[in-house]
Order: sequence, then C-alpha cells, then structure tokens
Amino acid sequence: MEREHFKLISKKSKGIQAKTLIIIFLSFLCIQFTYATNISVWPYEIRFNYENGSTNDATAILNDYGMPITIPEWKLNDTNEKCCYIAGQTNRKIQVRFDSNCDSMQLLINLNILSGNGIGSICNLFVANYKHLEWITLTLQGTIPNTVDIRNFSWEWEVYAIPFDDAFCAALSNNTTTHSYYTLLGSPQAPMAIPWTSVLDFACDWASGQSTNSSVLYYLSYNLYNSSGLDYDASQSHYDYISYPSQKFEFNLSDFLDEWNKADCQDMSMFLSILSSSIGASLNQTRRIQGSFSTKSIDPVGTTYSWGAITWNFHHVGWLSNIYDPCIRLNSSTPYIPINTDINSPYKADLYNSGIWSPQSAFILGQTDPYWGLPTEIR
Amino acid sequence: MILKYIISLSIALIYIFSIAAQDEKQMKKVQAKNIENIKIQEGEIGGSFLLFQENLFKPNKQATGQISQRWKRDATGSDLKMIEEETMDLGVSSGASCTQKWYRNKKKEKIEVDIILCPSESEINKTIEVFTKKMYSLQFKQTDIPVAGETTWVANNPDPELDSYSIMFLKANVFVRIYVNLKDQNINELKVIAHNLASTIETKILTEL
Repeated sequence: MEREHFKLISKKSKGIQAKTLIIIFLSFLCIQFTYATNISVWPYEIRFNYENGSTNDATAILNDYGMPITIPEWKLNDTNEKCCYIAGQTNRKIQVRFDSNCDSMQLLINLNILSGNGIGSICNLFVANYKHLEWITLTLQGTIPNTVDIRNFSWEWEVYAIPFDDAFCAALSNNTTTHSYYTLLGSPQAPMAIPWTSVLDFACDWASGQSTNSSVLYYLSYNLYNSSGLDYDASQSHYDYISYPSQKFEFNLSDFLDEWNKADCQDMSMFLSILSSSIGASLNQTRRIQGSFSTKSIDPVGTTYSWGAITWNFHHVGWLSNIYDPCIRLNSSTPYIPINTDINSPYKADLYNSGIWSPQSAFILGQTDPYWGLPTEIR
Repeated sequence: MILKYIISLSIALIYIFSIAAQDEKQMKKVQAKNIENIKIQEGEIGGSFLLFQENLFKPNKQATGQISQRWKRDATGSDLKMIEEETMDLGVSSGASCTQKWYRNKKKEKIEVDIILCPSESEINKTIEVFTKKMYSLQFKQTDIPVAGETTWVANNPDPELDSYSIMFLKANVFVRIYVNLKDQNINELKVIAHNLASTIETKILTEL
C-alpha cells in the first residue's frame, strides 16, 4: 500500500517536473520570440575618391582654397562634400561602410536613385560575412551624363540583413542619402589639374549642359564677361610679382575668389584658363600683348567703365590658337566678346589704335612667364 | 705753375664734394633693418579696416642673410598669424619690402600698401620701371608736383567715375604703392584717403633718414 502510494507520489512529482521543464522551455522560446530585435543597418561613411586616378572612382578635387577635401566625402550627420566625375564615365566604384546594431551579418544590397540624376545604382548585391563598420567596395551600374553640370541626387539604400546572432531577426533597412557631384567635360589639366571646388562651382554652372570643347569655351568666356559681376580695374592685379626670395609671379587665386570684386586683363584671362582646364576643356594658355598702345573704343567687363578708349602698358588674353578675351567687348556698332577670334583680323583691327603691338609667347600658369622670364604659380 | 695748382685744387675739391654728396645720399637711405618702423601698423588705418595679409622681407637680425615671412588673418575675429617663414643668405645686400592687404565690408573694400626699400640706385630705377610700366596694364604718369615724396606717379584712369585710386611715390630709397578701393565714395574722397596714407608713410620715412 505504502509502496503504491510512493509510486503515485513519484509519478505525480515526475509529471510536475516535466510540466515545469516544458513551461520553462516554452517561456524561453516565448521570451526569445517576444524580445528578438530586428537587425538594423545604415550607411555610415561613403568614399567616392578612394584611389589614385579616376579610372574606377571619382576625380580628385580640392576645397574652395586649394586644400585637400575631406575623405570620406560623406559621413552620417557630419560631412557631405561634393564629388566629381568625367562626362560619360562608365567605370564607377564607391566604398561604403555600414553601421548596425549587430556585429556580423549577410547583406543583400539594393541602391536606387530616388531623385535627381545620380551616379549609378546597384541591384541585389550579396555580401557574405559582413562585419559592422567594415569598408566594402561597390560597383555602380549606369553611366555619368554626357554634359557638364553640377547635379544633385538622392539614393535609397535598401539593405536586407541576415544576422549571425540569434538575438536578432533578419530585416530590411531603408535609408536615404543625398549627394552633389560635378560632371566635367574631360580630365582636368594644368594649371588646374586638381580642381578647386570654388572654381568648379563657376565652371560647371557657366558651361552647364555643354558637351563639346568649343561650346564649353564659348560659354565660359561669355559668362565670365556677362555674369561674373566682376568690375574692370587695370590699376591692380591678382597676378603679383614676388620679388624675394623666390623671384616669381603668383596668380593669387584665393584672394581673387575671396574678393570677387575687381579684375584686370591678367586676372580675367588667367581665370578663364583655370576655369577651362578645371573641367578638362583645352584652353590652358594665356598670352601677353606688350605695348604700350592706345585702344579704339572698348567696353571693359563690369559696370564702372562704358565704351571708351584706354592707353595700356600691355593687354593679356586667353589663348588657344586664337584669342579668348573675356575682359572686353569690341566694336561698339556691333559689339562682341572676342571668343576664338583671330589675333590680327578682326581682333587687332577692332582693338588697336596706335602704339606698340608686340604679342609675347603663350604660356601656362605654372610654367615660366616668357615676358618676365620668371616662374609662375597659383596660390 | 699757379694754373696747375688751381686745376689740381679744383679736381681735389670736385672729388671731395662728390664723395660728400655720395655720403649724403648714403645717409639719406632708410636702412633695410628698419622696414618695420615705416610699415603701416594695426590701427593706423581708421574706418574699420583690418590687416588681413602681410608679406615681409627683411634682414635677419639674429644672423647674416634675409628672412621672408607671410602673415595672414583667417577671419575678422581671428589674430594675424605667421603662416610661412623662410630664412636665406643671398650673399648681397637685398633691401627689404612689406606688402599689406587691408579689408573691410566683407572684403569688398580694400587698401593695398607696398613698401620697397631699395639697396642701390639701380634697384630704385628697376623698381620704378616695374611698378609704373610693367606690372599694371593701366599707365602711371608722373605728376608735375609731387603729392608725396620726391616723385609721385598716379594711375592714368580714363574714367573719373572709377571707385578706386592708385598712387606711387619715391622718398629717398623707399618706393611706395598705395591702392584704395572703396564703395560709395567719389574719386576725391578716395584721393584724400590715399594721400593721407602716403603722408603717414612719408613721415615715418623721414624719421628714419
């Protein structure tokens, strides 16, 4: 009897124990199910220009004052620098690193252009064994537009992440980033082989929509004369003679851009060569026409001077086989800005009245100025 | 015999006078080491103008040779800082120079002051030639009566409505260029400001001669 009772109690207690274990197990599962967090992934930093050259990535640029630009160009809630591509460029890679609430995961990335004319997209890129904040290189699909411009766009980052950690559930993260980029006609060249953003802001705006060398040079010259707001003043210049210790000429581009007020013919022609070379157009030379000589009636850039004659010690022009002179208009009866104009006819015929007319050899800023026989540089 | 004596005496006197004249010329030079005594100091230009840039080239007081310094102010509230310094031994007397840029009104109004201490007569002539005929496309004409110094040049502006005015002058071995560009001022007001500045520098030069 006692044994039977003992067996009964023993069976009962085993039943209770089993029940308890099941409850604990179910509770654990329940807790697991209730408190498992969705994995979240978001872009933390993006590099557009991450290697030398621009074969695969963005073209190198400098900031407004010719100093190195911040890379990564984009950082969450911190940095958003412009980047720069050549018109029609097909090979484009970027580097990105994602932040997450999880350490390691598998990723399936879709990068879509939400708005604007973007630099490319990505469809279903699988990234195995991704570690949180690890840099990865992404190859973009699509091409850069064929015309010069400054473009804005936004990307939607659709990242489906599968965590290795059981505490997290697989989930889709959606994030948006916005960017701006310059589109250049070709590779930048001397004297602006690594363009300043302050120069590109003008060049890409003034040559916006253009896709040929001649039309880019036309609009740069035309807008430099008509839209710059600069005012002619031939009694000062940003092309300064530094006598000691280096015996050289400096085109003080920083001051010129900073002041953005007065300009002489040297400033105008040198800035045209800088604008052109910054976006890969082919005008990169300037040329001094030594005088002194008196002009016919001309209309210098800006509002201070109107049509009238001036006596100059010299004049300075942009040069690409012909004259590009964004500093003046000639021929008051049928005014024109000399753009791709022959140096003798009509340029000299419409400008020169009397005195000495002695064109010097053309040169590129950074080389020796043939008139002075001294080295030159941009500061 | 007497004639010979008179001729010899005359030659001797001419020689003595020429040496005295040379000495006098040498005495009337501002010494390169004193360049900082004649430059415009902070506060000497009124009207809220701030010195934003100064390039200074002067003898190195601690050793032989020259020293070149670039000073720059980043913004209105910041201090003028030396951003570049180079010392060199050029082996010859190299004079001194100070170029300054003063701004106000978000850099839309500017005063430029260049002061060059020339070490020799030939350097004086070269500096005059470069500044009045080669550096600027506008011609600079010598005035009949000097506005400042022994000789003055002013820009030969064809337009009286221009809002800038430029003047250069030579006093002893010191060549000075002043450029003034102000908004909403007529040419006469610009002239007054430039001439007052020229007068201030000339007074400083006189105290160093």
